[in-house]
Amino acid sequence: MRTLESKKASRPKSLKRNRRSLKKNPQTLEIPVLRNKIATESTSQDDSSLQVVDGSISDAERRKKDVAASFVTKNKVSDTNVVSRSQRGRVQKCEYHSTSSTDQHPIGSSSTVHEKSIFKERTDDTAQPIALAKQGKDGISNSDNEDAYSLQQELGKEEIHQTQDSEEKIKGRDDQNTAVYNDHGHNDAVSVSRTTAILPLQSTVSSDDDVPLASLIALKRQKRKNSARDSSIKKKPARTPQMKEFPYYERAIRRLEFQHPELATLWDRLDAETTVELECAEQPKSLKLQLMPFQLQGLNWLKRQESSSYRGGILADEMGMGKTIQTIALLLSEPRGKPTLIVAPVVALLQWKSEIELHSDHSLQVYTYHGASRTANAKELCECDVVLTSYNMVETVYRKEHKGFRSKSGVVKEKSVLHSINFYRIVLDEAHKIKSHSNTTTAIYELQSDRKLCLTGTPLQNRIGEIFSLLKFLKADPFVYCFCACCSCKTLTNPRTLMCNSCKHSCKQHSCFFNVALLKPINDFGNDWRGQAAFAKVHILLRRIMLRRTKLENADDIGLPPRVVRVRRDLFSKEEEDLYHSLFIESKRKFDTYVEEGVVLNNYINIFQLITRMRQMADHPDLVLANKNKTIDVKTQDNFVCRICDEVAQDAIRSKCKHIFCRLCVSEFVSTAAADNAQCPSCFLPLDIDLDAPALEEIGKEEASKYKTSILNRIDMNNWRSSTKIEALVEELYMLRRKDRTTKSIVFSQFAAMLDLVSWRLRKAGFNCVRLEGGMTPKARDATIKAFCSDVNITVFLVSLKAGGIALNLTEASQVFMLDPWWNASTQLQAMDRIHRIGQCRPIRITTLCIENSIESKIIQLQEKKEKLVKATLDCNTTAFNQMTAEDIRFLFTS
Amino acid sequence: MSRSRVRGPSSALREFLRSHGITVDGNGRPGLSRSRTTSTASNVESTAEDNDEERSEGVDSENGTSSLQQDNSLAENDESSNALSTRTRKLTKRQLKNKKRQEAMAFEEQENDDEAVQGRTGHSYRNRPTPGNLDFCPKCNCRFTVTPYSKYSEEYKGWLCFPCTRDLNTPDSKPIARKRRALNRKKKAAAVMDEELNVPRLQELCIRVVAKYINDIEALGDIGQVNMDKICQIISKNRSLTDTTLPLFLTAQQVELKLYDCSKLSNTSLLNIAQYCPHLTRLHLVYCGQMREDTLRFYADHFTELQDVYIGGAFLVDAQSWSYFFEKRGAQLKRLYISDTARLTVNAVNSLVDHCQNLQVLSLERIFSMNNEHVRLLAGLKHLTSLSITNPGSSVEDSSVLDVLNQIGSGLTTLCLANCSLLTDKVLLEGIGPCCGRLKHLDLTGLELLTEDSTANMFAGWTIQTGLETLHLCRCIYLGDKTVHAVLANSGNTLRVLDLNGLSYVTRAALKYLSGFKCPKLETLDVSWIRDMNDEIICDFESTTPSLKKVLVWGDNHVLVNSQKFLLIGREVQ
Repeated sequence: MRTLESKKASRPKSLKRNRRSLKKNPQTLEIPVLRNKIATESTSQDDSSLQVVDGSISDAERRKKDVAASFVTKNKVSDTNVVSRSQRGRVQKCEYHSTSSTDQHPIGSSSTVHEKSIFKERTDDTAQPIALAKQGKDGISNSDNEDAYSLQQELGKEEIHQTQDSEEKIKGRDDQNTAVYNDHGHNDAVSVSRTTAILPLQSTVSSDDDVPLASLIALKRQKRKNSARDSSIKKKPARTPQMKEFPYYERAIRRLEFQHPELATLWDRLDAETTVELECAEQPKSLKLQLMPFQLQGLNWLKRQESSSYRGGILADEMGMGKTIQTIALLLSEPRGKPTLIVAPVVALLQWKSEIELHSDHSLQVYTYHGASRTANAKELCECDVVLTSYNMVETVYRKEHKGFRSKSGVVKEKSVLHSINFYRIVLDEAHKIKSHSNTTTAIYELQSDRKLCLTGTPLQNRIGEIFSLLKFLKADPFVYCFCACCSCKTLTNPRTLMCNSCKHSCKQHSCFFNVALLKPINDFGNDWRGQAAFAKVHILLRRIMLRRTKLENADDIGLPPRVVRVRRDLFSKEEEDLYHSLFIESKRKFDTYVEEGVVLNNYINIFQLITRMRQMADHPDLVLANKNKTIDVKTQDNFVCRICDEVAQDAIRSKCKHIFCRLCVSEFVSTAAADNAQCPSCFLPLDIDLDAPALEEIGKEEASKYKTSILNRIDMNNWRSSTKIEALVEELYMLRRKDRTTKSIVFSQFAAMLDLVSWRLRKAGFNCVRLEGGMTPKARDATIKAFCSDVNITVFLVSLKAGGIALNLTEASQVFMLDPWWNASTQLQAMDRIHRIGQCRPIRITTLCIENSIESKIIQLQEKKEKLVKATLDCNTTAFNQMTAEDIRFLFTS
Repeated sequence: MSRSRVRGPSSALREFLRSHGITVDGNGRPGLSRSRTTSTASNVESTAEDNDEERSEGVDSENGTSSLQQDNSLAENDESSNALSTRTRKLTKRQLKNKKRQEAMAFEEQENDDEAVQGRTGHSYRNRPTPGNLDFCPKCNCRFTVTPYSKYSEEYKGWLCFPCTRDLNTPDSKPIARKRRALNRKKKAAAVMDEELNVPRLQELCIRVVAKYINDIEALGDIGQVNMDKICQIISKNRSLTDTTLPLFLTAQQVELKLYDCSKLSNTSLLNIAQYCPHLTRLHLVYCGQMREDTLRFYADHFTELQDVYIGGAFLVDAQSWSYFFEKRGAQLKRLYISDTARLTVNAVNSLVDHCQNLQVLSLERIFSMNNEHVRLLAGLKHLTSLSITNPGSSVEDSSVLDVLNQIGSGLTTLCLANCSLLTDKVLLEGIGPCCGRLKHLDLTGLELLTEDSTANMFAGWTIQTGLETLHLCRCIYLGDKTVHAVLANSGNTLRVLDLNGLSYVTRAALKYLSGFKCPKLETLDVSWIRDMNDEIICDFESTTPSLKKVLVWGDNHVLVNSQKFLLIGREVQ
């Protein structure tokens, strides 16, 4: 039952809307007259509900309401409609005999029913009765619809009697409440509340005739309610006997099924469809790589799916099982069409490109639609076999087409090339990117194609709703369509306007089949039998539209090495503990203050910051003490650091790729490197540097500070001390060094500054390492990955968890180190899957480094707990944190 | 566990010192702390005197008197506390109150402990009192407090006071020289880790050149097995051991073949080895990620003279093929190493034990399917002299290991139980102690459940053998000083390799004892993560243990100086 407050809150809005609609609609001009009428008629009927009613409510409305109430008591209508007359009679009875029921219905609930004006949906007067008659047969279940239904019934009745009469006709839309007012004395007013939880109306009717006058008003209100109740409960069965048979939670779907008979038999039909066993497709001739059996099966499935009624599907194989190669096989298999659009995260674009070129033997023409130099020519795109683009790009061009962008000559709109082409096929890589509603998601929906394919390793994370976006992208019929409960209308987009463009029924009458049939039961009932029925349906649906294989099932085919995960635990040194302890005490004090004030949940951000600082302290104290926006006032250094000698740079100059070197170092480096193709030792792009440029030390301080973004610029290099965690990592890496083999490792951390420090320390210790960060251009990224994979001397790859968590194939490495435990293990698992994938021939090992006497051991405990309870969300942002309970946080602050 | 929380009232001086991180209690091992907490109350009045006494004591020991004195002081402390505790009856009301409070706190502590703080979450180096920390600076002769931040000077053989430390850090001037040094330092650091400090010989340089151009070489010719192996090592390291370079190493008469990184060799190439070199007696293949069943079966049929096999990372080969291999080749096999697979099932191990009866060396590393059943079967290998079960997957427990040791323990010279993390003291006390009389090499890496007392007792009472040569106690986290004393008493004179990595409870006293013990054969010492390790002790080792060649000091953040006498690996600063 909706609370009074929420109704109050929504009231002014609805009033406004009401007024607006009044202005719009010439038919409603009589309203003022009506109001006057009401005013004269209802004089003394004060309403106790005023107390609960918001002051902003207009007098007219209040009066209206009272009058409406009084009418019900007075009406003696010679009605041709037998049903309604009999009903009215009963209503009357109710009114005089139900005394005790007032307390049972909160005043607010009955009064608020009237606080909103109600709108009736109608296109023309004469058509209405017919429509209503039709509706009578309709099945109604939801309380919402119940209201609407009874309302229309009443309206219809009125119209039969007085079509010429002036009458309040307000079209509008209100999701919450519906009620109708009539200005004619012989008409009865019906009000219906949405909150139709079964009220014990009939049972409360007492035979007490002596009703004190004081309670009359309440009685009337009660009666009003009763009349509403009766009209909806009593009358409906007369017209739609079948509704009675269904429990309330089934009514919504029954109603849709009534209008759309095809939905009723949908599941049976789907179930009856025999699922064809997966067969191996033929290996495409132009594909160089021999596909594994399950990949051929996948290819076959993809082909079949494209020719099926769904025109696409979701390929949801686990990470590292070769979704990319299966897709390339699909691109290469006959019949071919062009162009195919592949939408992928930016980080994966170049990898897609190189993989397509590698495996297709350059038989496919690839265009990368990304960056400023992209083409504006649709024809050019159409001539390519494959167009690669990123999610951001799709969003950008869509925004530019619809919202425009600012330029010198004001807001300019630009036609989107991508959205103008009808692609032969669209492939979404890492399709779970569109799982939540955003501009990107909308832009993706608008892409046009006959065949659509989603690739994702994690289609369903923990909410069933997450798959809806994918289905909607695929335009899976009929699941993502909105159906009208009043007619056979069926649209893809839920009408945003007040009424549906095609059938002219209120958008409220439209509901999405996926929501009604699957989502709502699961949300409402969870895992009990009603929810399970819906779950079963979801499975039926997914079996038709999604293919998921796990590594475990195909272990023999894939031949992956066993994955070993371990946690290495270390202890703070005395000095670190000193620092950590003081930070912990301070944080704990703050946290305790929040607890005392009971505002823990309001201070998530602050607490998150406290915890982050402690986690950074566990990594290295400098992350807290010498951070860019440091929270503790400590004097730090201000140096340039040479990327070659890893010392404070002397006579520093800067390359085009924004790396800083000593003049001496870089000129030596350039002279030793081969003539033209000197690569930047830091990012492996071609080195472009002016050796005679003025030294950076001489430029202004303001300017210089722009180049001092790394934590290395702020530490005292001569007296710098390492931390337990960094040393533990160095020791682990040391143990992997052998004369007779090279073992490459990937090191993940969430803190870029930590990676800075680690890389600096490792380089000084004689390890060759490269880095991958969020801010890198795709080219630099690609060059770095290539360098790591091809150069045996580079043994360590430092990757920031967010930048490198997805779409990276690093099977050259066989060790993963997680520098800091993350809130949920699944993000880490995804990161680990960078090496645990097809092509990995070495035994692998994954190590999480943890400082045992710090917050990290508690994080790991939480992680384990989470893993046990639910399969934690895969988001690697604060949402995962927000799902922590206050209890969890308190646990973190225990010493 | 925190000692700091339980303290009686103390003098202003004492309080001041404590606030500066200086505590004047004696040795503080966690085991002792509990028993002592109750008696600290009695130390109330005598603080000032005590302080002076203990301080002078501390200075003495700091100046080089042996750690024995420390032990004495410890004993004294205990004695005095005992003596005092007899007086508790006469405590004043206030003291009684204090005592009650302390007891309550101690109880609370106990309760906290009972909440099972996972592992060492409550551990703290900070709260461990260090012995007397006052010293005289050898440079300026002033008296000062030694803190964790003080520096040890090799030049003056002593701790420097803060002003002198500061003077040491004079910035260097010449940029070019500085550059050179920076780059050289990096190279040197790498060389130290690879232990390649000497200038390479001409032969080695030639081999490197050959390895560099391996793809252009058609045949290696007659260069001898040793050099061939060296080239193979280098190209394995370069990751250029591929299908095209492999034939260079295969000759028909060969009896020995070692390939160090086969991850780029396809199944067919691996299979070809048996065709090219059928007379192999020793075959070592590392990282056979692409090896399939048919290859192993082919090996079983064709390597008729095989005695020594190492097959690492063949995770694709299934149990039946392993069984087939053991069945065919088992009788001659003397050494067998298998690592990194999850498919060695009970049946496979069963056939291993049935058919490889002459096996002397068996190593099963990272067999993730390994459990008690597997281990129990191994008791059937009567001729084993070396057994290694490392990183088993699920559960290898005391009972099965004890079964094996009871049966064949007496013959073993090498035993490695690294990372069988479920093993407890029982294995030491009932297995290794009484059974393994011939043991020379023992590896107990990562047995986190071993306790200090039992381990120390076991080593102290282990008289049936004549001393270990290698001992790894790496990351047996609860072991401490007592164990070190017992181990040295048992095999101090024979030890060549001693690994004490990660023993967080080992203190300065034990390290001093170790350096003073003068182990005559000790070559490699791993004292990583023992935070009490510092420059002074390194200098001690230099003078007392000339046999030392390599010392690992990862995470020992007070080791700053380099050593001229041995390789010092793991210093924070280069």
